[in-house]
Amino acid sequence: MINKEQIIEQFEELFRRYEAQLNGQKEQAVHAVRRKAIEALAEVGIPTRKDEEWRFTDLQPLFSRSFDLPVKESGQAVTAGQVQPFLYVDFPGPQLVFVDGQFAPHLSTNIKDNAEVVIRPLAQMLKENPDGFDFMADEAILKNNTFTALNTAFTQDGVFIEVADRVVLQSPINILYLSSGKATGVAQNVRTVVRVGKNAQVRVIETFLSMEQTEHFTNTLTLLQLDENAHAVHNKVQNESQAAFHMGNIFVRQQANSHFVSNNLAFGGKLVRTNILVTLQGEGGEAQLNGLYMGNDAQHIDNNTLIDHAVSNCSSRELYQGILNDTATAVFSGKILVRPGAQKTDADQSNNCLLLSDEARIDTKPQLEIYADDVRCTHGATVGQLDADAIFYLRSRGISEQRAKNLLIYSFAERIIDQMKVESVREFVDAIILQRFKENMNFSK
Amino acid sequence: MSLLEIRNLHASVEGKEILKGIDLTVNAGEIHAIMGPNGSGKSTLANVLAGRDLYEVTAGEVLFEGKNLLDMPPEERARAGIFLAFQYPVEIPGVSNMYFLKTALNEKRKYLGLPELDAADFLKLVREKMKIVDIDQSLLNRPVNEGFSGGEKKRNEIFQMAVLEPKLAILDETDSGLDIDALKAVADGVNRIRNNDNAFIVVTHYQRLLEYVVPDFVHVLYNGKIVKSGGKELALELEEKGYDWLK
Repeated sequence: MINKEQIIEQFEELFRRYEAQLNGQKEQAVHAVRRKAIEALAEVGIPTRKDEEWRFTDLQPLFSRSFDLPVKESGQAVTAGQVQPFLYVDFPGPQLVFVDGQFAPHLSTNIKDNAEVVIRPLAQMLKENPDGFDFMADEAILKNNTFTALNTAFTQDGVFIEVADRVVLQSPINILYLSSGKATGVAQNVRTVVRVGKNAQVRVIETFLSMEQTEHFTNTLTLLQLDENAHAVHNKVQNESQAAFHMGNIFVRQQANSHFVSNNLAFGGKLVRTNILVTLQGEGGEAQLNGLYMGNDAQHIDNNTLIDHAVSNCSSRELYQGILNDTATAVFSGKILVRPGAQKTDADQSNNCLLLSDEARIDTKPQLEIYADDVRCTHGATVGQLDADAIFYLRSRGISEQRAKNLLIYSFAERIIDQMKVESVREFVDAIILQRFKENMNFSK
Repeated sequence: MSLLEIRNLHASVEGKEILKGIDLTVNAGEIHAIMGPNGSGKSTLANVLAGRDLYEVTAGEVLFEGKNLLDMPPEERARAGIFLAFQYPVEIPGVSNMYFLKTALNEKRKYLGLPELDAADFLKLVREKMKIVDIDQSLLNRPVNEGFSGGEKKRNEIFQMAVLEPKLAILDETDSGLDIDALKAVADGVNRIRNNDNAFIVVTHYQRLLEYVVPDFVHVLYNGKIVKSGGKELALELEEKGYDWLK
């Protein structure tokens, strides 16, 4: 049973402890926002399964734990050698490494910070410019849900990226949020802010990994703003500990003729939820949301998306694919909102899930809320098993049953992985998938 | 020793008996045609030989090179040298034709104790085999059968046959749905592949294919049993008189 008052009390207590070790930062102007956020917690509330948005996801396991703050500077003791396996090999751009939610400069490489592109750790930004914290202050976002409120209250660090007008960044940017697992039960709150100027282009990857298979709680918030004609690709690669809790919120605002692609990959975590809210605010905007989730054992992965067609002539494409085994469960809740007057909206949504065991379960909730009359919206969901005819076809050519199944599972996942254009990231993700199979598949395209 | 020996084979699907006692011997170098009306059990026979588990063998035995075939899982039968050209080849999105074939060939080579081919050697082999079967190079890099026309799918089956070099190839109504050009291309492929060491079982409803792939033996399957066997003239007789003649 979730006792809401008790849980709020626990978070308020944690906030007091957090404040106590902030030292000078307490005096920063941004701290008022943090206080406001923790105070708003009572108003925002603690969700239960009676809330529609959380109907299929039980948060009791998360709320019944009490978490600790990250150990200060826990990244200091981590060496470049230790972090190596968690980075993309030959990654052609900047890689910012955070350990337990704190920037680790000695582990990070290639960071640019100039007139064309600003890439700055948030804590550094707040220190250098104490009054520049608008990215923390948005009230609507703060009050959107329990976890955005908590994120606003507890975030100390993260990344701020700003790409100037007309700048086309050739190199992708990787942000690695790594949990050290040195202490168990640590909660890390991080925030990533990306602003893309007019006609500018950027590709950002947020990678969430754990050094140990211990219990921890990651609460992340990403804000993406695309100006007119901007192009942005946001990749989320999450493969945290199988004992971890992961709550993610991604907010995207698109101006006219901007193009946004989201690739949301979830492999790790015991209880995972990612919310993605895309608001198409300018005509001609395009959004493409791709997702892949793979659940084993007793994992629970919940993806909740909302694409808000606020104006006319925008298009959105959504494709989520899931592979569930053992007693894993997943949720896909995808809402397309077409506001009054948003004519000539063109929206497609598909969710396909492979169930590899009898106990695996997917709850799928596609929703279309349409208030304009000249629109094209389609949605479809398929839930099924591997095609027996396809398995037999492969076996009839000499491929073993297990290998045939693995091939088919892999090709199902490939449909999403193929959308990732950075080769070193694709290889990293391929390796995660191959590790999940009982047999070595040794794929080479 | 015969290549394939079928003795008193009985098979059912969902409790209903389809094959009611099949006896057949196939030797290396031979082409056997199996003809019969719809529902006679032609495809059942082909699928039972390939090892499709939808069908239950209730009696009888099948020996392939003296070994008990029915004990072998489908992949082992394939590696041992059995190939089924499907009537309706399945599409497999996301798995490239090249990758699929290379994997299949290397499984067979491993089984035979031969070293596996790398991508470069495999490509060389493929180029050779493309001379045997008229198949478009572009189809090779696409996912298996995805978006292929009926004729392209059947050509792909024969191409796979050329690459895998089976000892016994079973063509399950390979001619169905093909126009005359596709039919000739398939027949040409088969004729180039056949030799004194391999054998073919051509399952077909119509006599048309048998003008191009000339059989040594024709068997007529009717109501789950082989009711008549003969030479290639039997096919022509059936064509003239129709299947009712057998009743």
